[in-house]
Amino acid sequence: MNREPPPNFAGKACPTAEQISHWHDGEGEQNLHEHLAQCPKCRALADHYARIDRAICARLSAHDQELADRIVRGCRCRPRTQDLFFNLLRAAAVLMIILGLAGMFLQREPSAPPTLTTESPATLHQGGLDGLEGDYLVLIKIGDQLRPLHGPRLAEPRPRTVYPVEARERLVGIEQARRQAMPSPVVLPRDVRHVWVVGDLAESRQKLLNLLPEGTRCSMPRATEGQAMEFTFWLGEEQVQTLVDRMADELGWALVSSELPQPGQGTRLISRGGEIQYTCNLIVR
Amino acid sequence: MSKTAENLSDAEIIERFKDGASHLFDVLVERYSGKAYQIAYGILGSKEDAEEVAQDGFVRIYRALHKFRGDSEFTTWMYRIIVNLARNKYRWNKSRGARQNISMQATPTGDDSAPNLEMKLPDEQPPPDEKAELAEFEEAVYREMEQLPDLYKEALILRNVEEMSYEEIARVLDCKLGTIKSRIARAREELRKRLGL
Repeated sequence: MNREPPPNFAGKACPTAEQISHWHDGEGEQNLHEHLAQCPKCRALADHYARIDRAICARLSAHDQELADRIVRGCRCRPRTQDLFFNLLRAAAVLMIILGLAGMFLQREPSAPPTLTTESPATLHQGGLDGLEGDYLVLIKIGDQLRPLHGPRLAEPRPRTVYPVEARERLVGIEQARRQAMPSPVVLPRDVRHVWVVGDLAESRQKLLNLLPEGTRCSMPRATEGQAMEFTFWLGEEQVQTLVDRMADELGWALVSSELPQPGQGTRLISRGGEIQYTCNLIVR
Repeated sequence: MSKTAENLSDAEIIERFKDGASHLFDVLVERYSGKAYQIAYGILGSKEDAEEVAQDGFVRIYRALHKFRGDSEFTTWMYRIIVNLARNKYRWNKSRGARQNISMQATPTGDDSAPNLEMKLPDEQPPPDEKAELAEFEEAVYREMEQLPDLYKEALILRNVEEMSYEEIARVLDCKLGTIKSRIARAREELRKRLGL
């Protein structure tokens, strides 16, 4: 393509082929008219473009006058073959996904049916469930019914609740995999009150304040009965869990309360967002 | 006095179509089927394919018209659908080897990859009269257009369909105005050189 200006004509640079094309379309510089009238080379170029366009138009306009009627008829009654094809394709894809998922589940099903073994009744409270070896579904007698105790029920803070265990069933297949992937979650209540046994009260107070994250809101420490002190903090759920962990691990304090959160349960913590009001009573040993 | 259907604007027809007057779609087909066919024919170079694309395009427009929001002109939207369908059809044909030029001199080896298959038409003999010469020239133009890059060819075709403005072509092909100007000029210049003018 002629991108550079062609040789000069009559002392003036000729327009580029692109400029002549624009002029030919009536969208370019209209002052080229004078130049084209004088320059045979540029005029010939414009004539060639016009001839090419005429040839294109002649072909384009040669269409059947009944075309519109045929199109209208087609719009009204044309079979939707393409839609049918894509619908079949879509249905085949869905079927393959279903078959694939079914295959995965079948592979995970056990070869033998689950066995139910009745063991001698025992008692345990909620914290004791974590100590069970292997994967077991613990059935609890509530009234006259046997109910499974797993999942969210474990998260409910029900300290000191004693459940008679009636039977244990080995978990298999999907249920086993689900429990392995998702250990029993811990959800904290909005208001937590803990009692800690500490050494020197003043020293403990300072250590506790050092553990708090920057910007923590807290109530004024309130001394109770001379040998105890009470604080209230407003922290996020994970911050409360971290604080409890550090109070137990780093400061070596003993947690008397059985309320959640307990030290070392951070990996099971399910965060709901929002603040926890954490009231902390320090009692001298 | 109410307007006859033929006097309604595109926007009025679409509005009434959405209100349930589906028969007014015929007016749109009557108005634009020729243009749709021309665009498709320019891109595809086959009457049968062009009519199929025009037909398919209007079927799609009929089904989608109730969702047309009028953000652009109806014609821009319609031309865009037709160009896309024609483009897809052209690529499909190309991938299937349809409309492949076969040289009269080439030895029929059955080998699809045989290079330089080119039909040497028209005949080198001088045309008997001016009409035949014109037809021959048109044929040559169309044959050479087949060799142009698709983007150049589409812009030039749209320009020659009722002299669509550069701005409208830019909207249909979703390009900048300067790009369209350049493509049209390059298409013409390339054709001129190929035709030996």
